[in-house]
Amino acid sequence: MRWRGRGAVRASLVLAVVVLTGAASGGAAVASPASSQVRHAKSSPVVIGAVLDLTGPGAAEGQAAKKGMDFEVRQINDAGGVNGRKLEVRPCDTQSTPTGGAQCATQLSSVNSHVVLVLGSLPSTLGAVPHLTNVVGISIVPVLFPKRGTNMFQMAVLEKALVAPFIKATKAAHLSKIGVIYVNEASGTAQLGAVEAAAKAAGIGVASEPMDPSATDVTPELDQLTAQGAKVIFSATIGSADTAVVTSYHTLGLTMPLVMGAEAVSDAFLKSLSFGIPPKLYGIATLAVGPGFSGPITRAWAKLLPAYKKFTRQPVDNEGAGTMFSVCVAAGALAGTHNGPTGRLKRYLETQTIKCLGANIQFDQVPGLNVVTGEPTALAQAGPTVADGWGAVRTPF
Amino acid sequence: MTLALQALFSSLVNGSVYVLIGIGIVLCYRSSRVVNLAQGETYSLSGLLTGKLFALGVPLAAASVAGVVAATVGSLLFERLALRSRLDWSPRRLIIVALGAALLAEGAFDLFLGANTYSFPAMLNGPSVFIGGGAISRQGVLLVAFSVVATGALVWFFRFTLLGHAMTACAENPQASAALGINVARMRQLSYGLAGLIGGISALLLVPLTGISYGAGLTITLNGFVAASFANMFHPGRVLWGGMGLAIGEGYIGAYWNPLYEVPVVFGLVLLVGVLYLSRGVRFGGAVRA
Repeated sequence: MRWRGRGAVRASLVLAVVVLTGAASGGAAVASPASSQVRHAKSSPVVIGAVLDLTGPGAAEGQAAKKGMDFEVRQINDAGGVNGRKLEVRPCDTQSTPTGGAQCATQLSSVNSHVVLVLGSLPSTLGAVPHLTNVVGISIVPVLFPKRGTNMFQMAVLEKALVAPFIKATKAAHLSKIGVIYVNEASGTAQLGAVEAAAKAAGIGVASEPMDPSATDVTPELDQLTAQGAKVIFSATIGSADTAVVTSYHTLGLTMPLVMGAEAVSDAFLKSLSFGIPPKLYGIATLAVGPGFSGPITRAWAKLLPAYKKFTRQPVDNEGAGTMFSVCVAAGALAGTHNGPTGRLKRYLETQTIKCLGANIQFDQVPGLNVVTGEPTALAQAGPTVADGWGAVRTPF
Repeated sequence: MTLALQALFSSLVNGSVYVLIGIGIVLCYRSSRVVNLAQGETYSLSGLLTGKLFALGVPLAAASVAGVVAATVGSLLFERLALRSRLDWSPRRLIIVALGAALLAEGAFDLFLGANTYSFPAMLNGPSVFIGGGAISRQGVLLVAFSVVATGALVWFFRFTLLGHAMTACAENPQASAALGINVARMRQLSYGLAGLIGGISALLLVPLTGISYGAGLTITLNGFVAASFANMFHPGRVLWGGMGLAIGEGYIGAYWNPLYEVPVVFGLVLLVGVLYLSRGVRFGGAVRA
């Protein structure tokens, strides 16, 4: 082919334009997958995993935890999300079993946030934890005690911090002896140990009686405690044992204060009481109810309590509060590390203070352990009706 | 004295549960030779449905009737659909059928009624009854009274009524009973219906004291099974003293020794004594004494 004169120059120019345009388009085509990925990453949600007991024996607590989780996620997204991205939680049902916990942990280990909330009971949590090796795990089980340097963080204060308001109230009322009825398993004995240690430091005596976790009537055990001089009863129990203690307390016509462990400070427990709520039913709570909290905590909770009740149609309880703190801490760590990898998230949680629900949350105050401090703790009183839930103490001991 | 009485009252309440489920198992066995391990699910169905309906705002009376009717119908359906066409199977296979039905029922309860713990107000409220320093709730008194009355009624029914004799005959020899004009299927339906009714009413009495969740059935069935075993699956009267005896043993061991030893000591002893008793014709080494 031979190019002739002006026509040839025009053709050459056209050809050059075509070639250059093609090169530019090709370059853009090569460049656009990455930039579209960047755009996609910025607009795609940050996904946190959540291991939950949605069915099985722990379902009541799991459903309550999910409500708290959904509420807090909405609060965070309404405030702009995490680094401008929407926060999402991907739940997985463990069926309240260790195997289910393990399966959920494996499935959720690939979430893009590298954070998994472990919101189930002890059995499913123990099943999940060994499978969360390449993500940060945040658990609400109070007896996990994850060691410093591991990827697990316990979003439940030590028992001794939980029982402190109860011991303080007992001392203020000049009650000389606490009677503890406890189930002989990890949760019960941990609570008993905490009460014994705190009571001893406060100069208060302790009598204790074990109970069968499946017992439906514990009137002889409560009788024994009153015979030993107990002036206030502490129920270091979980599950159906909580109901058995309250029912037996009602049968004996006792009027001394009855204080429930943290696990019973739930809406579901109050609904299960067929004889109504005893006038002197209390619980150890991770709720900022009553006086004595800092200004930021008081202000945050004054807004939180009605908003939570409106969203979930029930008052906030320990389960909901624990979950809200977990979501908040996870979001705080993700924001602080700009959705960093696991190692950076872990170091952030180990060293930084995260502001959640007005409280300063830290994981570096308990030597050797990744256990939270800063969550509000209080002695709460139930009722007077189920709809009122757990609130500030109305009737001192 | 107070502790002894309190342990006794507590044991009578616990024992009533063993007795009521136990006599339901005996009722089913006497008409069909089937150890009905699904008997506790009638209790669960009644308790859960009553609790769920009450929580939704249905008046307690209506919710209770619905619960008891559901338990009775459930028991009848189990007999009709799961057992009737399989009664020529060996007893060992039929136990598995019953166990399978129990597990299926639990799954259905979880799915349709939820996993929450339910409760509802007691039939008899008010202050507890105090006797000699021991206390028993009014609902507890009603529960114990019902277990005694129900057992007595069954003893009278099987011993002194034609229908009771006919029901027993159907289990011992269905073919001969049919030849004599007894409607074997109707007898079996009647016994399963009665067992469902007893399970349903038991829930109304016990759930206000303990609460109920979907997995309660099998646990309560095992307790009733032990009580029914005392009666050789046959004598309702023996279910009463066997069930109460077990519960009283547990109660006093719990009160005077350690509550954690109640179940292993009492049930372990029962098992040991039972094995020794059944082995009394066996020499060491396995040879049977002549």
